Amino acid sequence: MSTTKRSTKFAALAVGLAMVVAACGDDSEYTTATTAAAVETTAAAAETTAAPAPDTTAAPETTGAPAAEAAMRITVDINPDAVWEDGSPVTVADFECTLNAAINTPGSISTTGYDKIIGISAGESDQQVVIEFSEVYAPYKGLFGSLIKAASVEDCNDISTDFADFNGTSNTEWLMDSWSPSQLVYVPNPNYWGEAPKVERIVMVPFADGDTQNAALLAGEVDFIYPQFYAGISDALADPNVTSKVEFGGDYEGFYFQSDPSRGGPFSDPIFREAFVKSIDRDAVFEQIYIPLSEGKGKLLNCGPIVPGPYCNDAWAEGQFDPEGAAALLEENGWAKNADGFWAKDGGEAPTVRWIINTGNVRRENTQAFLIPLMQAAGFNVVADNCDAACYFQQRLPSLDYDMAMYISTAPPDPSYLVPGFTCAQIPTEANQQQGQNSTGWCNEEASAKLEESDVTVDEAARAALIKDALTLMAADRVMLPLFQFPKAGFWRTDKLAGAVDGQLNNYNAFNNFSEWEDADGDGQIIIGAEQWPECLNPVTECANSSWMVWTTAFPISQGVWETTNEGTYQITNLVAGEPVVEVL
Amino acid sequence: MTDLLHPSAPSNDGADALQGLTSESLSPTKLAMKRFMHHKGAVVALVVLAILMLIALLAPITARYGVNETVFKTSAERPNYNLPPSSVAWLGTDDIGRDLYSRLIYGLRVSLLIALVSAVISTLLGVSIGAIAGLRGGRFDDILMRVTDLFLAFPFLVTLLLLRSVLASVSWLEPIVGEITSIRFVIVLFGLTGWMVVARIMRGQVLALKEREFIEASRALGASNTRIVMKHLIPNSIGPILVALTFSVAASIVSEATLAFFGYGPQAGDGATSLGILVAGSRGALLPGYWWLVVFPGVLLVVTTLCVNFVGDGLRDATDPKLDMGGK
Amino acid sequence: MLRYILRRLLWAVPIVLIATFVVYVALRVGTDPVASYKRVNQRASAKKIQQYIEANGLYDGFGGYIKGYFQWLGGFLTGDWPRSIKGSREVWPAVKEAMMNTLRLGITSSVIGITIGLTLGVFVALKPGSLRDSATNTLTFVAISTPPFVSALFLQLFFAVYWTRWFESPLLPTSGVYPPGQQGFDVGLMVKHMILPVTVVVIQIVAVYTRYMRASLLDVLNSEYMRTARAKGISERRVLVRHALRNALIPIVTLVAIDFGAILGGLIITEGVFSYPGLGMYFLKAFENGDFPLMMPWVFFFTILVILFNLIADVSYAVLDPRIRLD
Repeated sequence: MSTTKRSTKFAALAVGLAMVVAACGDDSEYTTATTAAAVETTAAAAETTAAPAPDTTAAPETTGAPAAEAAMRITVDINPDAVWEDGSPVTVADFECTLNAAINTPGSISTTGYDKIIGISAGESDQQVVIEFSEVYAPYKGLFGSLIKAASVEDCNDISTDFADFNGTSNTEWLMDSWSPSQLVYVPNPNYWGEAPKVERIVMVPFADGDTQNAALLAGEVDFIYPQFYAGISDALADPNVTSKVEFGGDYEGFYFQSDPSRGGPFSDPIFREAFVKSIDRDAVFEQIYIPLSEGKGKLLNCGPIVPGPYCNDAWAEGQFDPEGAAALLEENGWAKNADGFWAKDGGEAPTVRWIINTGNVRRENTQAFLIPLMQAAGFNVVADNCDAACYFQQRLPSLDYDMAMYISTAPPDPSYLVPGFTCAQIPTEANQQQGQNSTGWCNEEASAKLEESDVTVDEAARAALIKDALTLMAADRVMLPLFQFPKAGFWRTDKLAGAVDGQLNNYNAFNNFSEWEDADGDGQIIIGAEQWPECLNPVTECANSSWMVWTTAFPISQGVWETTNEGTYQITNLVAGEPVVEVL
Repeated sequence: MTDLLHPSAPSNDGADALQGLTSESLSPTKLAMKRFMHHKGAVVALVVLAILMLIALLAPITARYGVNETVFKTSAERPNYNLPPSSVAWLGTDDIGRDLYSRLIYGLRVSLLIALVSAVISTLLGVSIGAIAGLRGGRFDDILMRVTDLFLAFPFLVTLLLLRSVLASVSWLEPIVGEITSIRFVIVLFGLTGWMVVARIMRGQVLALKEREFIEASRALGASNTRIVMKHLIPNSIGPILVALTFSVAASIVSEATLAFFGYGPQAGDGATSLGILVAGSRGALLPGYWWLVVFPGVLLVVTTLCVNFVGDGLRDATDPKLDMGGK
Repeated sequence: MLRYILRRLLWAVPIVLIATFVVYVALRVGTDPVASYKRVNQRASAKKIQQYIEANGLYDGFGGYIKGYFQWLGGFLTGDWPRSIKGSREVWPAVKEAMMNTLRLGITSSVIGITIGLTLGVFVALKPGSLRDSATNTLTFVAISTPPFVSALFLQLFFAVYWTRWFESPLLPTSGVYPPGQQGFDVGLMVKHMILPVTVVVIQIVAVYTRYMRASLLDVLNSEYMRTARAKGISERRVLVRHALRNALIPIVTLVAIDFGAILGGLIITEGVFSYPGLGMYFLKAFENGDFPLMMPWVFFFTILVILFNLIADVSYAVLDPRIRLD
């Protein structure tokens, strides 16, 4: 069987399930990496609209154009034992299908990275995959995190109508037995080549809200839950039979200040922005909002839009809260307090700062209630300007229609998401059809250059240095204010569950190691509660734009080349025979 | 639910009230007062309600802290959040250290404002629709009442949600209805959805009154419909309308709480609060055992609604003597 | 009589058309299906969006609404339902399952609630002004003034949480139709799961119908015609059973018919708190996603249901009340 060497024809786009998987946030949260990917997807609609493609995306469909020179090549050897649930081997065709599905399926949510692939071909056998990239792509480990079985779909170029309510394919320990809007059942995959799971049945059930779910755990109706953390949750789940483990993963919350000069908001004036940020008492917010939430376990986040780890240099640690400095700075630059007690420049009108959050989020509403009076007392006219989650995350933020925002981002272990999120070229403009992903409007040429360079730098140390430099510049420009690395926790019943339940509770994988759990009460099944329930099981469309969808219906039955560990690093799975060979050409 | 849709029992059709008003020798108002005073529940409810309204009205004096003020600055040794009732905070503090007692007062204030204003709007709307339907009669009346029936029978929460999204989607309405999360928006929304019961009652009144001599007389003298409505129909229907208004207030309080419970109520961020927001916020406090956050807002909501309902019941008995006769 | 019913039925046709058209427009304006489609299919090209608009009749303007409505109605009646926007799933199976769950909950609570309510109503109407009358009156007012989510939360907490803490085994389940992991049909478990939600709804229905019945029966007992019956020397018991109850029930039958839609719709709140996968949860979810193809059948069914039960109310009133003469 020969696999065609495809050229730029599909180089335009591909879906990055791996990216989403790594980046999965809550439906209601702003998922940096996913939305970053979404830019490119939408921009690449150029495929059919004939509008000029933005410079960030690969060229649109140009059939017959000569294949570009490959700049990087990855060779993957598939484990010879690796088979699908029907016993057929995993081959290069499945890799190709995964790529094509993403490229051409309408509504695919992420193409980041895949758009740089110019060819997939079989090497020595069809169990050796050779992937060629148009340019060096440093975060390549985020690709092919979840394979799509080529034989399971009619047309790999459009799988939007596949897997609507069932996905019977599997290359892992588990097989989906049934799925319905109220229940999901997994049974062991008899053809799995690795170690068999210790439980006969895994059942997942949705709960409409956290309180119902908590009550169900206390009542013994579910064995394990993975709830959204909030102040008081430990008190709510205080029971001798319930235990928990708290982890700090890739979720972080922060304030963001929309500073695009061309949009002319109050923060496009760097002086005003600096004074404003210097007037925010971050410690007070931390003590009032986050200490109760984490029960004292968390710390103030000083890394910027990234969590502690190899790329963090604590650039926000020093000199942030300085009210006297802020007042002095404003006065030096011609600002004075007006009759209402608000700062105004040269006798003009005092700027109004529109602070947006999604309505119904108690923690953010509390933060507004706490901070707005303090900011008003400091002379800044801050008003709440909130709307529901869809309006906030899908309209207002992407169109930069706000002055100050507060949201959680879910960072994948790799910092490549910073490039679409914080570079000049990604500010939504006419040139990129308003599809840029830089939702703060921050443009610092020097920082942008460093971030873009980091994307094509494979050397880890050099890459980390570039990212840290960019973060230092960002801190100095006061475009965002990191607050808190958000805790993630699993709660489970010790009378019903044993084994490595606490093994992988970080948000990268959630509870994905349940094949290692043991059924302590011997009822033959483990029941896991889900806070959100997928509407559909398609792994590349909007269906997959939710961490819960991925945790409940994608991870358990599909693996790829690399997986994320609980510590936020990548490791190869048993689908491949060994560490893939990466060559920079 | 159903109770909100049919607050008046079947026997209270406006037509019945008339007999009571005219067949006694005492002046109708005095008679009604006397009857109201006989209804002990209503009198107690009125007193409680008056006290609650006074407290809410004088919020800057009666509240101990600001709506968003923490009782003291929090610290690791002395946290200010989720404190049970104490001398610092009589009814305990919430999850960011605010005084629940003060917040209840501010919340009640907003809820009463929403309920009263929207009830007045919906009553005005209902009186107009009912009067027009009753006076015009014929096919016009048929259609209007059919619409009223449908509105009454359609699931109320869905009506609210649909109308809410329509109002928010039509951009030229924004100057009138305000932002979707504002208090004004909620008032307009409730005003537009609460007119049905009043319309029915008013129509019944008009039908019963319009053939009577004094109306026919003034019509013969050339009085316009508007004049007849203003001079005769409304003054003669004031009892049932007042009753409907009262029940409409109670319905609005519960509706606000329901919308807030499902996250579609007025916005909490800026500091404004309402009974609905406070009750909705108590959901997470049940399991951890922060009972004060559950009990006090819930009880205040139920007590307020209950009092308004009782006052309405008393007013109904006062203006509809038929029900009272059983007691004789 | 037959002519009356026929005429009402004929009238119902334009009413259904107009009413469903109004909700169609409300949904189109309020939830903007094209915007929802774009949100879900971010890569969709202008051509694809245009195709979607044409396939679903989502044209602009008032003329567009009319055209689109009839296009939708045609597809709906011929069984050609558009798939959901999010996930492009078939709509009918989801509607059917939710409907079964809701009907089960709604009918059970209505039957229990109305039976208890009517009995209680008779019980207090016989001794108006007595202690039991005023106590019941107060209690029904408390029940009416307590929003269902408040009583639901308290019941849930008591039975599922505190009971478990005190007696170390749960008494009643707090959510769903079946316990998690259940396979197949099981009446016992189904009933057990319905107890708490049914209780919440029943409390409300009992309160409302007790008041209805009391008022209606008092109305009849105090009427001229009953006084005449008494004066004629017919025994009190016979008066009550033969005449009063029968006449008092006439308006109640009408109210039951009118309330039916409202009771079903009111279950939304209860279903929400108990994670009960019925029509209420179905609608709230679809509304949240702005999923027009999911919402439209829902509002269509409810509109027809409401009109139908209004009709039943009128007809039953006409049939039952001898005083009403039909032209």
